Amino acid sequence: MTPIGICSKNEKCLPVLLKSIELYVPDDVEVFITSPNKQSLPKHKVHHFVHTYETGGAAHNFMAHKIFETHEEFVSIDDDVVLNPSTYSVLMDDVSHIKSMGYKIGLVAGRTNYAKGNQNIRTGSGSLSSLAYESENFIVETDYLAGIFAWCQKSTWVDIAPIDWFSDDVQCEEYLKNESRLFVSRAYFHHVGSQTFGYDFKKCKQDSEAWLRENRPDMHARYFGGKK
Amino acid sequence: MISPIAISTVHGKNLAVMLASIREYCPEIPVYLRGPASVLERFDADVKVVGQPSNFGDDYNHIINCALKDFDSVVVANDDIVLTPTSYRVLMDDVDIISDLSLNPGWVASRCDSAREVQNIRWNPEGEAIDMCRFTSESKIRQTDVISPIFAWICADAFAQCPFPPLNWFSDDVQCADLEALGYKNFVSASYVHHVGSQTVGVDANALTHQAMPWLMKYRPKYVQQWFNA
Repeated sequence: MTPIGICSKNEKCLPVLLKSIELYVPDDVEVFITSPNKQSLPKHKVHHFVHTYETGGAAHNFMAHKIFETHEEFVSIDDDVVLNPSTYSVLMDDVSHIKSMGYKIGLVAGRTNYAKGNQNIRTGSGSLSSLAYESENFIVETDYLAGIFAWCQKSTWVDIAPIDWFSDDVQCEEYLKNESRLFVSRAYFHHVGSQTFGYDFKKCKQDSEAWLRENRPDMHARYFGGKK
Repeated sequence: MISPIAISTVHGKNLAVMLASIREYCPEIPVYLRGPASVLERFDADVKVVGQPSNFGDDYNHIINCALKDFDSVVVANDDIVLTPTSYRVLMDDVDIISDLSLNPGWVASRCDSAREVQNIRWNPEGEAIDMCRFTSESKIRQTDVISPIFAWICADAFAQCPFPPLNWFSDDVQCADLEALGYKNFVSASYVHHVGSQTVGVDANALTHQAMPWLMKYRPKYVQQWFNA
């Protein structure tokens, strides 16, 4: 079974995520957790790591490489996510479908209530029947994903930039440069959002500016309007 | 103001996650929980009330009335929701705002990701652009004719005059219409909860409508005419 990897800086919402994993994820799925305090689950095998978590990118890279020592793929989950009964199984079904098409896959991520771009359920199309949009029943290829709840694999993995905001954008651009494709799955998860970096969005943006200016001037120009 | 959270469950399938969210984000709020003894023994709650499931309306009337013996108002919660860190606080802040304006509130209900249009975060009648992952209108209170009490506040006076009818589907439609007829107003709050949805009574719309029809025809023929044009 494909393991789960979770990085948590403050563990604020982690107990609710872990309860949803306990209830809805098959018992033989291993769970890798990077967090300040040791975590446990009653039925799942848990591997716990401590990391300084100076940036989300560094912590997630640390965890990914730990998991890739023993597994070829994993599902990365932010600590302020809550799974539905079908979230994990639908994601894995969709990964299986996409693999069977022979595509080189970068990420396959779930849909949610709080994310940028095509993952956000507010961007759906078709009729709003049965309380959700018709389009939520389909897998969609995209050029941007936030790895809030996402399947990834060792063979195409791209390290996350050592920044918080825009690290997803940088990673997705690298995936696309490598001709790895990005997909939005039918899987739905709940995302509290902004629990690690806070609601001071101006500061979140500014904190990433210096790194982008130095390392990705093209993206710096796009997001900050500076020179390329 | 403290309003306890009242939950009725049939099988408790998703209840552990819901209770975990209450424990994390508003542990000081009393929880009243109704359900079969075999289900209740698996969960912690401040007040447990044993009762066999019959229908949404009767089950919730039972647990809400228990909570209202001890408090002047109650927050009714489905057993398949998950609170965010601010769900309860924002809902109660909105209740305060509405009450301060003397708007005579019936229900004040949270928005969520699985609900009828006016409460559903996907709903965008004004064609707004998404700003920081949400529509700006989600931070506003909106008056509406009918809500689903997925996570919703009501006061004792209003509930005493308009309990739920003994139905699954349409129990909220009937009750909201009854409240409006008495001059109460229903509101959607800026509060948000996650709702798994369709976990207890299923999704067979035809069957669920058919099930409610005899009661509606007998006790609320006016509503049948209004809603079904029949």
